[in-house]
Amino acid sequence: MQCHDQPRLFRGFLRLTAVFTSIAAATVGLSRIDVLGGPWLRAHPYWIAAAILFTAIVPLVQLAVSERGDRAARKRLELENSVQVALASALVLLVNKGADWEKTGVQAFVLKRRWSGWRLRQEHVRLAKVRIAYVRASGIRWTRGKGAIGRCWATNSPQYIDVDCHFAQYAGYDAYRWSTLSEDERIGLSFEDFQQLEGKYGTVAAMPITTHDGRYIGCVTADAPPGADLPREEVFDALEIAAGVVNELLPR
Amino acid sequence: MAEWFWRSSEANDTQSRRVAAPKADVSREYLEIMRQLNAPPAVIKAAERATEQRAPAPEKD
Repeated sequence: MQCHDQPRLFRGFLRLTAVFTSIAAATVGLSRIDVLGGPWLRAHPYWIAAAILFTAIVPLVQLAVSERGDRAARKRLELENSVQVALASALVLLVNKGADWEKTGVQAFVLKRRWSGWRLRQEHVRLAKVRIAYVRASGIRWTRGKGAIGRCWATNSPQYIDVDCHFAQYAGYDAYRWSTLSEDERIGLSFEDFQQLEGKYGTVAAMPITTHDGRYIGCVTADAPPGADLPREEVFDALEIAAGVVNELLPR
Repeated sequence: MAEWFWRSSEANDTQSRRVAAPKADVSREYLEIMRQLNAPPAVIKAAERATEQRAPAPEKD
């Protein structure tokens, strides 16, 4: 599957080649005049040959990389559309079983290797989401052990957490009191995460997507805000099927 | 043990205890919804494969 980092890599490649192409073009141009290092360049023709070669090859490489990027983007979009249908079906199934159609959201995440500083690490990347109401993205990275999604990854098992009920007992906690709680009590969240998520979610459920040999590769989640019903048995049924479908849709 | 962990564990137990017939019903309902949503044939095929592969749950004790 294509990585979401590709457009960023491609933009970096374009910037780099633009800088080197400018240098190469300047080198070729300067070699024709008698000022600004022109005589030095004529005395070192290998530099001029390298610059000519560079300016000739770069557009072809850019074309090839750009076409590859377009193909990858198309595949990504196709996958996102297919996963969205799978999630929408799960949401309708949930609504038929009593979930709030306006407030319930269903999402699919897969693990990806991404650069974090100088380290290559795995993290969840969202494939698609389906939700009628607009909900601002939290921006939190659901690392291993953090929140329902992180717990789903860490334990490779379904999770159902009444976040609103669980965190109600810690309402008004400051950073110090939060730090005295155990990892389980904090559900792996930092104090900043806790502040950001307070009141946003009522219930969150996560179902792992696993390979046939049981390896965790991502999860499908459902969430509802405080006060909205998200029946547990039904949510697990819907997410289990959706996780299987997403697994089937992912490229091998 | 924290309450959330207890709930997760209970969720696992509940999953393994579920009986086969309701699972099949839910799978059928899911596929029906997918067809009603005009899902592309490739997605419906993937859903059919996924629902076939859903392991039949053990009998209730």
